[in-house]
Amino acid sequence: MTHRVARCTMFVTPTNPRFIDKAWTRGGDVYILDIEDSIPLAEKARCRSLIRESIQKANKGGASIYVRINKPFVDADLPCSVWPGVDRIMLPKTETAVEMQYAHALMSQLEKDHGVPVGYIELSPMIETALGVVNIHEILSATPRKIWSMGGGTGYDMAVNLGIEMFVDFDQYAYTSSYVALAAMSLGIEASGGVFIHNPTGRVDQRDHALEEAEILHAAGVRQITALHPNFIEPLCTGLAPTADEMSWAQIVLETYQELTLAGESVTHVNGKVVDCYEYELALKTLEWGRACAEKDRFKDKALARSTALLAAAS
Amino acid sequence: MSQSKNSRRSWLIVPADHDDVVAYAGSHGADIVVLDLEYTVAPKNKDRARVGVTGQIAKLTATGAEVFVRVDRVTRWADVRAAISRDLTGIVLPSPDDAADIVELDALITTLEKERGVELGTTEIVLMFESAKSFWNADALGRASARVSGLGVGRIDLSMTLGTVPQNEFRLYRFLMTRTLVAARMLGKQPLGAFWRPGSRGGVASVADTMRAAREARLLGFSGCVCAVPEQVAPVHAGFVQS
Amino acid sequence: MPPYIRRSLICLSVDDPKLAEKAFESWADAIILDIVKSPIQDWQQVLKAKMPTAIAAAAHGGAEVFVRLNAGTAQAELEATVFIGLTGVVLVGVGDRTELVRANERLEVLERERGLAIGSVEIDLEITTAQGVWNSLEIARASPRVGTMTINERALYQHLEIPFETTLEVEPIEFIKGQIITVATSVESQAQGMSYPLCVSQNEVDEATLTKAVRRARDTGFKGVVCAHASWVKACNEGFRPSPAEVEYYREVREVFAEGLKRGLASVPLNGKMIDVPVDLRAEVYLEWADRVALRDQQKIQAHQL
Repeated sequence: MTHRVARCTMFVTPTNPRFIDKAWTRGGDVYILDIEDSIPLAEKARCRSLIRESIQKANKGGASIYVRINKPFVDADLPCSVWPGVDRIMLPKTETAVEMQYAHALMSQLEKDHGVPVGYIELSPMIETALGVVNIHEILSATPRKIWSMGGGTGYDMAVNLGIEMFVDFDQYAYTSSYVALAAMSLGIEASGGVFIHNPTGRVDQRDHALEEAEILHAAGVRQITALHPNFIEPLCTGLAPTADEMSWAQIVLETYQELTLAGESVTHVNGKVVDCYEYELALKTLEWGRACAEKDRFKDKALARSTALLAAAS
Repeated sequence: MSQSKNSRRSWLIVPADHDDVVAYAGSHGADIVVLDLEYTVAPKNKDRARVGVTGQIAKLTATGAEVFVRVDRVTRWADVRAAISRDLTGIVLPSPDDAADIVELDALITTLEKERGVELGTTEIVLMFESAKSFWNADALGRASARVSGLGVGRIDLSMTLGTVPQNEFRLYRFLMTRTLVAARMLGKQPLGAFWRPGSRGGVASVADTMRAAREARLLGFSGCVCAVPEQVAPVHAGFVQS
Repeated sequence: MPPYIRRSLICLSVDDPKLAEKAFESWADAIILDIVKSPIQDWQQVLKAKMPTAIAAAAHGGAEVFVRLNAGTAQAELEATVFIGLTGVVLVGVGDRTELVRANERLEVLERERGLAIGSVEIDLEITTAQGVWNSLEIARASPRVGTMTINERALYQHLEIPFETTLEVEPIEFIKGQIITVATSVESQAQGMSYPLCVSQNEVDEATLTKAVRRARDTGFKGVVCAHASWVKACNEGFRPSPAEVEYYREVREVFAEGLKRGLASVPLNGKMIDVPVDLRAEVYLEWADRVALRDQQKIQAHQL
């Protein structure tokens, strides 16, 4: 795929069979196998031993698999995490370029050893402290590994770092998330920052909230978010893809712009809407994104059907 | 220079290929007339517009207007070559990404000033930031040439496909305005921009929305902005009124 | 977690005849001494003679004592003002790191000469210009002495040519505040400022409004503020810290999580929220902060009983 579709990512606890065995049925674009904050210290060793087999468990429904490792245990976590089937390693609380370079070097060696094309697995820094924010440009430019998308500059750990209470009625991360987003965009990386969604209760399980969130993100042009509850998965995957109307409008724009180009013109109106070079660029992006989402959805459907059938046959 | 800087409230974009529009361009009361060789000129008319721009500058300055030319980034060398004259106050450069581009342009302008008897160093450059890269490098861009007299927030809802957020703002818009303001004040340049809201595509807005955008920009520290159409000049002046 | 407990700071003049009284009655965590450079006499000698007494007077009541200097003329001003008892110097209008490096060097010399522990005098930054904002990170990193970073909102408005109006519902310098708070936190320092619009109007307001404004400032990331009025001090001392209700909640969080751990659970529900490792960590940090605030209050109480 030319576009890594990750409309909705969700953390999964590999040590909990209830979650890991069922995750693939939930329809997520991405599952993140977690060795970090959802795994207590005493359980981390066991969790590491489960990562490799968890990849095949969690991707049965066509989801991509990420692994969130521990910042202090990079040396122990990476060998258990760099395997075929993993698309991304998430590095929590990244603060410096050196941390990125260290992980990158180790990953490259492990990719060689474990039969993964070298450089394939994305190394994604998680920005969870003020230091990570101010160093964002050096972090994102630290290694030759391509970074597809970035969020960050928000969250629990950032709140602790800044010494602030969360879930207030204004955007406490306005600067941090915007600054990270700008740095990412300036380096050609897709950015999901700069969108404040008010969640005064701090609750993560309400479907209404998911629909609202999807609508907000769609309007903001943001294409990725982490779901904190399975209820959010379907509304987010649907909501963050282009609508049928957007796709057909994009097609009209494309054709209209071709006609403009032939005529040596640059602007016109169709059904009262402007068609110009900006709409054209947007249309190209929309069509590409729509096709990528549709391809991902087809892939997920096929994977789901296949895995379900295999399961039925086995029982 | 710094006194006149903050008094340039309205920068009216006028398509250089529409002779009739250009003829009246000085009559709208805009502080600056920006003869456009970029967005408002259809590709089929670009050559003609470029050729005719020198004459247009002269005609407009004769009516008392102060004139800039907005060049097309991809044809900026040819556009600059056409524009530099004794009557021209400066160039508007959309979406500069690298300081090196500005340095190169500065040198080209110097050569042309010498050739054409323009007082050396007097042709200004106003930078319109329209990409993430240009906002990131705002200080380096602003410093790249002594000719730079203004740093502006461009049509970023369009050029950066900024979506909208529930607070009735474009995503990242105020953050980018702030960045531009700080860079401008640090470097002693005029900060240009208006607080356009969703519904004002590329800054083309109703009279009421224009006045609001200008007024709020003033309250955010800005002192002037682009007018896409003549109807925006009066509300922009109303919005940027110094109390 | 905040390196310093400085919720309330007030500025008093070195020449104020009621300096000791005002410092004592203020209950401020810190006093910032404003200097006056008399144009006629040799101001350096005059100031040098006054400072030790002024510092002692300002410390009356348990406050930390700072002196407020102009970054541009810091070399001469440091010479005249740094004496034992001073916690730090506030440099107003630092625009780039070289000013800080020079101040750092001068302070080392003065510490040696005047019997202060080397490196003990803080440099605190008062941001008043666009340069100070843009270069804030490199400035903050220029010396390990950097203590707090204060946003002087009115000075910034002036320098950025933002009108002194508060009709805009969004705060004009919202992102500048975010930047300074982030930069300060990144160098393990902290930021001081007030929320909008009070930071611009700087009125005396009723208690409810002030409490709300302080809360907002705290939720933004500020750890204290240079109070425009002595009447702000109480609300700042009470507001820039975990509230009693928060302390109780965080104690419960720690209890519940510890119990869950004993039962082998990685996360436990409490009032509809999941308590896991990060939440427990936050509780730990906040409780430690609350303890340090209590200690500071105790110190001030004792200073008032002397």
